[in-house]
Amino acid sequence: MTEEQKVIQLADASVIYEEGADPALKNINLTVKQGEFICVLGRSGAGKSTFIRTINALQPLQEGSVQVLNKDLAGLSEKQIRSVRADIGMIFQHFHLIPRLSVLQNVYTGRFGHRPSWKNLLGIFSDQEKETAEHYLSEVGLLEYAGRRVERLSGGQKQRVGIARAMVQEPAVLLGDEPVASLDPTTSDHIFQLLRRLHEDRDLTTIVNVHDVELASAYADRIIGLYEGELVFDGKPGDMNQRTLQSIYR
Amino acid sequence: MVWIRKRFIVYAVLIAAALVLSGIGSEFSLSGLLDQSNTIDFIRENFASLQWNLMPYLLEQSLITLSVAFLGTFAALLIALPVSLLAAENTSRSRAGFYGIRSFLSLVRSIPEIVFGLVFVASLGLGPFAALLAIFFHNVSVLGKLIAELVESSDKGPQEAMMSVGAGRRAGQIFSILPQIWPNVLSHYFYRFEVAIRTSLVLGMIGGGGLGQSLINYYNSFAYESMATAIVLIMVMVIIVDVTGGIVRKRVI
Ligand SMILES: Nc1ncnc2c1ncn2[C@@H]1O[C@H](COP(=O)(O)OP(=O)(O)O)[C@@H](O)[C@H]1O
Ligand SMILES: [Mg+2]
Repeated sequence: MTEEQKVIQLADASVIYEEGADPALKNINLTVKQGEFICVLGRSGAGKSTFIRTINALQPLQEGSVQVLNKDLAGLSEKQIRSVRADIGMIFQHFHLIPRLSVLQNVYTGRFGHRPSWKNLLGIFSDQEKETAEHYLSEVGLLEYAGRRVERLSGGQKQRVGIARAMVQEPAVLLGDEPVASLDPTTSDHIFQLLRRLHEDRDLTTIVNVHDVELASAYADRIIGLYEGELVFDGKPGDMNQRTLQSIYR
Repeated sequence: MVWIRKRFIVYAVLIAAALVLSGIGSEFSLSGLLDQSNTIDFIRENFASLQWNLMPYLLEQSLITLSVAFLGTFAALLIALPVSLLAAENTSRSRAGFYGIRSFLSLVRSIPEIVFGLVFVASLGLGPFAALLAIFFHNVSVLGKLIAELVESSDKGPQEAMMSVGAGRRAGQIFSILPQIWPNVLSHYFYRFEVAIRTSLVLGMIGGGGLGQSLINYYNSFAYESMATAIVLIMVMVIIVDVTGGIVRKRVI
């Protein structure tokens, strides 16, 4: 594997939240290649969120190292961390949109990492940035809602705004922390179809937590299983069987 | 008496004792409470013949009172907003800074506005500017603390989202926190503005200008009918601000 292809690499990565507590992530070793679509499975508390959050430096490691886009996150300054985060999109279970702002305004905030703060505060966006924002709004099918306040959207629509906000970053990696856990099965399926399409159109490296094995098997190229902070499965959906499922959900 | 525990009897005795002592301290008298004929006479005599010719002058004075309250609290809000980010545990850069600013705000808040007023009247001279400064400083400390508490209890989700897009620390905080707390900020602001109108009247009485000063001048020169006119104007003003505040709050929330 060339350095180019290697987007993310965790080496002996451990996260310990409180001294004396069991590690939330235990000696994880894995490599993510450019263009993979990965689902992370595990019970509640298995460490899925922690794993996702180590990748964009929302969660620092206590041991080991994590390299993202050829940078070791441990040694970075605050400014460098911001620039790495600007290249990684993230969507959330509870969407985490900015209330009181419109759909389009929320999408604009996705550009914040690429621009000076004063321009963000004054809300100065170039015509090209406006075009980009509207482009992604139409990709998620919400262009007609551009001016609507986000509180007035359904859950599925809110997650689409979340996805447009992440995509407008033009990210090299897209992370999702249980993005469909608050949505009904049909909407969840639509969201995964959208994620899959965005992934295929631009070979976007995508890593998403789910607790639904069916969804993961249907959409992922690769599945990572966590149990109490340990990596217990790493393979193709087809490689999963009763025994491996047992090791994840025992 | 299954509802009553022994502990309650002790509390009841303590509260009763405190009530009796307070009655002595405040020279409470039942006959004084019941016999309000003097008060009623006072109201009947003076409020019956309001001095309408004073209205233009008193309206001008009430504008001064309103200006002091509005500028004092609005400027305080503008300062309190950024200060609150430094005074909230989740947004301050350092623990030392957080404790330092919180303590400083508490210290300023513990000084009654009238004390500020007396100091500024003595140092800057009579007039509304002294009242303005007194209201400003007090409200920076009050609003600073109230808004800091709103910041602390705000939903962390949007903050995390702004961190994850790589937004700058402060810009990210402003975007993720301010929209959430904005209705409550305005609510606190209007309440403080209403309070500031009353305070501005009291500060007028110690030389801070405006309607309060007119009121105390009439009082001191036994011009009770003029005083009654000023009081009516005060009531109208407070009611108008109260109603307007209610309307604006409803529109924002
Ligand atoms: N901020 C935190 N402080 C302390 N413990 C935490 C924190 N976040 C998560 N944990 C613990 O770490 C473990 C993994 O949590 P998490 O990564 O959220 O799991 P998952 O997303 O799979 O449900 C759990 O035991 C959880 O209680
Ligand atoms: Mg989780």
